[in-house]
Amino acid sequence: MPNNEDHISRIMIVEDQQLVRMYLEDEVRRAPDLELKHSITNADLADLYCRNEDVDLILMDVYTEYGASGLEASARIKKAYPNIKIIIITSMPEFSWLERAREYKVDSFVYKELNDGSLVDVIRRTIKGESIYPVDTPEVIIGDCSSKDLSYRELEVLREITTGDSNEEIASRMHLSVSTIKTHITNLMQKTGFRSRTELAIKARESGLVIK
Amino acid sequence: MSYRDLLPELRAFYALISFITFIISVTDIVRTTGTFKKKHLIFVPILTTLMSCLMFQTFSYFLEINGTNYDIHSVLEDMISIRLINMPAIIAGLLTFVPLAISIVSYVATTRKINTSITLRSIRDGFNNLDTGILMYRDGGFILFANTVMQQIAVDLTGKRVTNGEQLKKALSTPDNHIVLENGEVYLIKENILDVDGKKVNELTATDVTILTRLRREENKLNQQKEAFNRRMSEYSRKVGEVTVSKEILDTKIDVHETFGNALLMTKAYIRKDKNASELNTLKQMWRKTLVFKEIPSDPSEDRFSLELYQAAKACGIDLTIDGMLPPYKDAQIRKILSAAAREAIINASRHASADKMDLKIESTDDKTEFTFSNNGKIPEGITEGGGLSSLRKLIETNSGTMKLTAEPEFKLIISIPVRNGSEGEHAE
Repeated sequence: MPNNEDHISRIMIVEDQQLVRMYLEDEVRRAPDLELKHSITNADLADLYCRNEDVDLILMDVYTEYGASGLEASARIKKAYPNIKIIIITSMPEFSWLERAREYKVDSFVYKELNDGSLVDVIRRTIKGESIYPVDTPEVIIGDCSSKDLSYRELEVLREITTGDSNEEIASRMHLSVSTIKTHITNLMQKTGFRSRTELAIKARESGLVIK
Repeated sequence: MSYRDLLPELRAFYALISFITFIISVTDIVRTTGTFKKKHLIFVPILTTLMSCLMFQTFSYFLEINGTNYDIHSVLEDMISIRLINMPAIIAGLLTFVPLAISIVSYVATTRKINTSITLRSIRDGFNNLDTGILMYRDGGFILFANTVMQQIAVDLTGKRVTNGEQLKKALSTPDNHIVLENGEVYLIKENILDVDGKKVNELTATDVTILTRLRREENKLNQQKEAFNRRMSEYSRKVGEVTVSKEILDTKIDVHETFGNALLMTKAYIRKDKNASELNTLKQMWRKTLVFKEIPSDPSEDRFSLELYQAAKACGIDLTIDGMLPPYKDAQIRKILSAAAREAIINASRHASADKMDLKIESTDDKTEFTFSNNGKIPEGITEGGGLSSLRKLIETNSGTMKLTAEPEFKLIISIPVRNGSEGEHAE
């Protein structure tokens, strides 16, 4: 695709997995209209790198070793440097990240699997001002049902039980009654066909559908 | 025809009836007395008793004077009796059978009343059938009432039935008001003071809480199991992040391996000039992609952590020096805290203190790791914890650590994190 940009966009990559980062670096380097400015692993320090505003667009991974700090970093950067574009890249279908990304005014959001070779395309379009979001989170199969069959609340409760906290703690966090929580868990187990809360929590977490 | 003219058999029959009436009435009197508190029901039986008594006396008297033995008991008796003997037979009949009828009705009525009303006996039976033990006694120990269950408890605890209320009360007193019998039954003892007709009555009740106690014990055990499970689940939650990331890295490596293998095969085909060999351009692209991965470091992000700290500080105009060993890759939580703290320290140093040099000292002992940030900038007048510092504090406190800010003699941010049994994230359960 012919590129009409008359200047070179400076890209920062925030990705803690070595292999993925190397792939992203390679993609950026091979594009003549993109320049790799910084490539870091620590999302917590990302906004400090933006101090001199020498970055036009950030490719931000959400999930790092110790938590989804990519989203928090995006929120900080968007607030302090609204002109810097951010594309969130993730392979995990955790359903609430889409919403939070929108809330923090992240420009684009791509899933690694659904994106093969067209990343540079998304970068160019985002720089031009387009906001590219997937229609929905990718469908994940858990047990006998699909993530599409679960209600928003059920997904929230599913995320909470992967922490191992008691029903009472979950109820107070979500401002719901304990019996409501128990009902949701019962429904979840019925829909997924899993026989125990443990199985439900583990399978849900492994699928990447819910990450706390 | 008068009574005396009747057949002897008939006369004897009248006498018998009177006697029977007499028996029935007396029984009725006895029953009423012993059963009911209100004694007004007693009048009818008393009446019939007197009547039948009189009639019987008369008839027997007549039998006597018809015989050869004749004794005058008293003038009054004679007068009444002689009059009665001479009365018409019908009247005599009435005076005999009517009392009989009345006494029978009265007897039946009394019986029904006993069966349908709450008598003293039914109250006592009720108390004795309760599952709860009840003891009532006066000050000093005099027993007013002790029901069956209470007697059983007394025998179980003291070896004999209760004779003194105060003594039994002493035998029943335990610190938590629960007593346990030999057969494992558990009773809860309660004391009450009653006022009955103006007089004080001490009451002791023993409630069977055996099942309740057992259920409570089981509930405690289940709660402990639940807590143990939750702890294991939290631990799993923490570990699963590591495992997921490792799995992803492994998957990527496998992909790379496959891609490499494919590239080799396709190149071989091209060299051999196979019919279906790909074009040179396609081959070039494939190799380009593959060769990106030719250097895969064994330890991901191992040396990047310190490098990025320096670079981030430099981007804010600060020259950072690190004194000590950075926490290793596997201590994810400590690295997270250090990153967040470094961020706050760098921002504060550059923005508020206009510093250009910052020092990070790391000291780790067996039970804790301590980070100390200090800079060469202005000393702040008052330290206020903005949003960043307070969320840092929350993060630190969630990990059982402490955070301290000092301004004198120079600005310092000191953070101390306890290390759990060996390395963080692997503590013995």
